[in-house]
Amino acid sequence: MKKFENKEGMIVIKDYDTASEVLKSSNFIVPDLLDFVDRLIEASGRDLSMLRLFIHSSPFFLEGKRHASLRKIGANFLSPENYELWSTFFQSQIDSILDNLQKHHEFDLVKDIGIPVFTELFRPYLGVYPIDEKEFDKKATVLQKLIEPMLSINKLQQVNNDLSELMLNLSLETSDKTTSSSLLEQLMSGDFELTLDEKKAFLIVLYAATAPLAQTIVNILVRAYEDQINTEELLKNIDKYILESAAPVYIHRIALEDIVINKTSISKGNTVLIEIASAFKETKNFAFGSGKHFCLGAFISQKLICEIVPKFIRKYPNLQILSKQKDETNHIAHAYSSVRVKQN
Amino acid sequence: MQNTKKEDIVNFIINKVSQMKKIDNNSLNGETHLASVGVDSLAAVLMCGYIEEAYNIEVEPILMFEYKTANDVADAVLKIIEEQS
Repeated sequence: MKKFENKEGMIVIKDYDTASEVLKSSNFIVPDLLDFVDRLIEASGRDLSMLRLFIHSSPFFLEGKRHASLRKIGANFLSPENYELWSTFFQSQIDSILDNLQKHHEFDLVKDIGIPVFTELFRPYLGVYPIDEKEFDKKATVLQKLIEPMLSINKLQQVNNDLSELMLNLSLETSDKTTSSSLLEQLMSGDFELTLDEKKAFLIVLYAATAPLAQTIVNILVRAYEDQINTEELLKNIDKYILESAAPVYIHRIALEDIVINKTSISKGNTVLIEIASAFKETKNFAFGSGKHFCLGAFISQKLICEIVPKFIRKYPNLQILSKQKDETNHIAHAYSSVRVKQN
Repeated sequence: MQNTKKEDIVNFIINKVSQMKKIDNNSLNGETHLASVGVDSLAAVLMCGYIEEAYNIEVEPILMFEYKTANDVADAVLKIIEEQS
């Protein structure tokens, strides 16, 4: 991931000491995308209002009171207690996904495991019921790329337009297929200080945020089969495998003031990208970040990885990887666009 | 596009920086260090939008952080024009 290295104003951190100091320091904040988009709208005259709405409805890009309030909603829903209410459903869906693959001699881990994580698990869990599912997923599953630093204004415009289509495509009808309340149901029935559009945007953001989990599951499976790791060893060292296979490449911060950390000079306004796999390779707990922006989905991600990966390997112990293609257009996640496998 | 000259692109960049940052055009030249006159991430995104429109190419704002002067950026843009034509 060399795209952001050796660039003026950008600092890529690969060592643990500097990384942990940055994450602990109040001198670094998540990029203030809202302020950036407001200034961009003012300077360019472009209509990026939908992009603005999504940023304002996403806990990932905010600080302060709004961040805390959105994070609270997300944390409550993604809690261990709520997971317990859904665990039987998840297990049943996972079994169904894996059973469906038996009839295929060859299949694709991205298409047949990664995508169903979105469609069969998170869609009902979150309550995301698009009117046109195919079109919705085509756009929603690539929203992750929005967090790439330095997108062009035309790409941001395209994202804005895609977000508008996603909003129109989202149905607010709830499903009777699940027994526990989805996030949509909770948002619609609860007393939250969010407009209807903000609730829809928040829902879509969390759906899109499933991407790193889906990608990480595929990454772990590829690693498991290439290195011939058995399930017992995998489960014993699951934190290590998650860290080493985690999809997100960077933790992204902006420096508020000039500062020197471990002899690294960082200027006010500099973009700081902490390369997760390098900086935290000797630890096991940073795949999900730290502090007030610690990954909201950490608990459920770990649970689902520990459900899906061992079940898959036990069911298909003799899988052969035929081909794999990295997603070269994704600069902020280690992800495959395709992993073809064959049952032996 | 075939007749696009480097000098034209350099002047284009300087004019845009001058407008965006409200700096006298005459105080800028092809070797001015763009970051030192305030070309930040917002300016980089805007600049690339202007370049894309003017030259009908796709460029990424990170270009403005890879190349420090208008001369360097112009060289890169010329190369992209050739590649994308």
